[in-house]
Amino acid sequence: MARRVDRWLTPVALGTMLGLLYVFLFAPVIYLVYTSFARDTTWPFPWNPNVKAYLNLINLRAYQEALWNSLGIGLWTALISMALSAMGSIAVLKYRHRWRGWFSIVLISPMFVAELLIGISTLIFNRKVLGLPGNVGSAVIANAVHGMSFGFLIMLAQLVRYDWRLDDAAMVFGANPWRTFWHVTAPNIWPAMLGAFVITFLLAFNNLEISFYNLGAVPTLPSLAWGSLRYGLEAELFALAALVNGVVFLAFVVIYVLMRLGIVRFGYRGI
Amino acid sequence: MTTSDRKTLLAAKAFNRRTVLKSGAAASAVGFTAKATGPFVRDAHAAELELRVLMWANYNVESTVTAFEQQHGVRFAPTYFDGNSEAFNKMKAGGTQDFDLVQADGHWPRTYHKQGLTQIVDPAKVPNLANAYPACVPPKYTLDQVEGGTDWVAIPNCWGGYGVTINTSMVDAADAESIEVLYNEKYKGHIITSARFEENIAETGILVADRMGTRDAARPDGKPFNPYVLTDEELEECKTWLIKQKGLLLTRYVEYDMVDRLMISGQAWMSPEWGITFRRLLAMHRNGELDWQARHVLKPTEGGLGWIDNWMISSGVEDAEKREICYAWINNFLSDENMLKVLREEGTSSVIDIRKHLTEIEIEDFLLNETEQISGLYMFDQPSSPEKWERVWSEVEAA
Amino acid sequence: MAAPRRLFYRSETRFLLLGLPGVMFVVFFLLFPIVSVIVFSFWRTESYEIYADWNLDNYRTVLFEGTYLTFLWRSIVTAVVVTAACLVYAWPVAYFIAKYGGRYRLLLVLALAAPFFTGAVLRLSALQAIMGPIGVINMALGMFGLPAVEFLMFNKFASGIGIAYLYLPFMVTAIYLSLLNFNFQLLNVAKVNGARPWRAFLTVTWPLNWIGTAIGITLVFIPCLAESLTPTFLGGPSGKLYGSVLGLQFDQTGTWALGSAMGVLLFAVCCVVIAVMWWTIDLRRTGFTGAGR
Repeated sequence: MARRVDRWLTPVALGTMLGLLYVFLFAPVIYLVYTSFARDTTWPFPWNPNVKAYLNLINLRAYQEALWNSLGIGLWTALISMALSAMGSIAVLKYRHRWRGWFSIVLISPMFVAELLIGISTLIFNRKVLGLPGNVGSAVIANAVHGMSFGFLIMLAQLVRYDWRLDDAAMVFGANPWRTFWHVTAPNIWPAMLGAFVITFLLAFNNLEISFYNLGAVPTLPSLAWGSLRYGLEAELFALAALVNGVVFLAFVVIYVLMRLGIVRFGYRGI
Repeated sequence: MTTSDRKTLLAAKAFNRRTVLKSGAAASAVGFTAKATGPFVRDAHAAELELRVLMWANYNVESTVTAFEQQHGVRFAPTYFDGNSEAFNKMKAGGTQDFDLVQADGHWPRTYHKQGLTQIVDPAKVPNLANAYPACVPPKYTLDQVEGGTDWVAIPNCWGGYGVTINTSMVDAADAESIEVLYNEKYKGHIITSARFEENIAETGILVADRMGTRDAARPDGKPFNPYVLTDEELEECKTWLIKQKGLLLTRYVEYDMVDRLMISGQAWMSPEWGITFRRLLAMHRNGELDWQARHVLKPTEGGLGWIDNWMISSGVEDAEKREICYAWINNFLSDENMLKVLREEGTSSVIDIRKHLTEIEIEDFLLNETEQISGLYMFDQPSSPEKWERVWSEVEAA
Repeated sequence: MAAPRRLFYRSETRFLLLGLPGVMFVVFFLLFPIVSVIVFSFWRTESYEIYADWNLDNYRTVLFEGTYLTFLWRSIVTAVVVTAACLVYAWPVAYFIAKYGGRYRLLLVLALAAPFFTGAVLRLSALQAIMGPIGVINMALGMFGLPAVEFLMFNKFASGIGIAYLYLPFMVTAIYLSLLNFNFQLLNVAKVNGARPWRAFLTVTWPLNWIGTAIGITLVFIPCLAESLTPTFLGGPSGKLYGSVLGLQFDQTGTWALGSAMGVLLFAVCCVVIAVMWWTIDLRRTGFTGAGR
């Protein structure tokens, strides 16, 4: 009897913890969405629904530009970080090489360095040594250096128990390395790669401290938010954040429906 | 056959179908990437002229910008900053190549020019400046000219103070007149100040110099008292006051929303600020939403801080066409129409006399009949020794 | 003899082909910039101008004038407390997702990352609006005539909550990814052999997932050490952390040389943390399957 209670009590208790975590994580986001509809963003009570901020967004090019810049920086950073970290983690995990330890240390090392320092040092190096003005490219690169170490760790965490004999088996059957990767390794490690992609995208999309110093005159969402603090955050920023969250929410609904209908499984092999 | 071998074979079988699915997914991913990265790829090679501006966010009036862009066929690209030293650091770190126009206030334009970050400007190319209040332009106000000369380094646009906004129902009228109200044990837990190190030290500096009797005595640099040029003894005394004040503070604010929230709710009773929260509190009181009256002490008995914001042209602007656009922007900014928007939408007083367009209440709220007071305020400046000020501030924060 | 040698050669080539791009990337875009920071830390600034006068004053200031060590100590204490709290909370959550999440577990994990689509400035400002003196929490309490909760306002505790808010998802993700490949049947084996659930967890689950956990700890600890934004919003007048003061040097006071020395110190502390974590990892015990077993 005690065991049966135990069997459902554990998941319920743990599930409650997860639920509470979601509440904690999403409360500020919900507050932002709520406030984006308020007439007054500093004192949004009582609630007078209002879509003025959203209508303003259509005309405010600064915000649109900032959104696209942030997306661009996020995507490029994520692509570079994911590719480099996937390659690096495979090299380190699969091959016995005398430099393996050193390579791992170098690939993780950007994590030792505070974001702020990466931003500042890249700025110093670009300006004083290379003589480059601020631009999106150096912001992407500085973010990608940082993102790569996160991607690398995420890949390591998952691939540490990957069975590399699968790859060897494919090679024995005559597949070339590229085909082996595409048809054996990738299908098995893609959740890790997706994880690396998503995390590095998110880190770069909303990065303030690295991008801030390297962008020159290019606005992004976080730099806009930081810049408008002096006179208070504008309702349009809340509205834009709410729209981004709306898209994310829709994406989740779509993924859920696809999974529910069994169209995609995302590597899940159970029933 | 082991499990892994079987997997390999299955993978090989799935080859065709998977390839088709994958290339489809890849194609759409590429499409999305191209869309998302499009704008800045385009920006980098933009053919049209771009006006890159390092500015305070509240001066970006959308309708003015749109009209200007259409009229002159340029793209307006703003970057925002908070404090003067932040923008100055950005310009110093190669920013002259990144920006065409930059804003600063008080003594800062001289510093920018001395450091070669901005160029001499010609006020004759800004006809709208003719309507400025006398207190905001030479000969009364000379910080926009090089020290001891008549060449202009900046064009003023707006002015304001850094007075103390007071909740009159909580703070005694007699206390409110002095800066010392911000260090008064009586109001423990209800005082807030800004998080910026310069203004905190400078404001304390005014109080300290007054108490030490050094404000009106001969200064080491032979110039009149400037709260941004403090002696070591004064700085040491500032540190003591600021450390004592820490125990009384509710918090330091970085964002204006916080000042509004804390003042409206009655959690905070006083705060040095630009006067924006003050005007909001006044309006709320008029509408019956607030049962107490707010008061803004622009110039306490010891003296107060003030600022005049300016436009400057970066030294990176070398071709004549770009320079003309810069002047056109500044002149357009100083038009009555735009200044009215800046005042009504962003809550900042203009250096251009636009009283004829305003209501009596607006003139009163924005203290527009008292512009002569500007001359009596200590203007925002660069700390005489950022190294020493940094040390004082860090020691205060660590205490 | 010839065949294995060629094979060895080929695997070496592949190792370098895969590993070198990332390594070169780091060397070019991190190492060179860091070297310039180290160089700056031996220079001197005066009124926003940097001069190449080699000296040790910045280090003397940072290491021997208690002020900056006070900030560092505050940051270390904050990082330890926040990381411990995250660890305690993240484990059960990650365990739940990996074991009971079923086919939706990826979705459950992605949902933890979703708040990151909103910038930290906006979220922290909202968090402050929720927890602050007149925030949603305290207004709700006020409606029921209850006193406001003081500990949520402008102090180190509030700041700690804010930092945990930002980095907890990292910890959950790292542990989850590790558990994803964990064979839960091992637990049944332990139980069949008479181990109580807690003992089974401590002797099987925890050590076998230590790498993921260690990575999670690092992912939370390091950003905590360098955190600058959160205390600005939530920390109140005495909550400034090392990262905030480091940022101040570059953004406001223009004391780049001193800031660089602070950066080098932070870098050194992070290296020590990483070295400790690295030292605790015993590949063999965590079920490592790569080369070199």
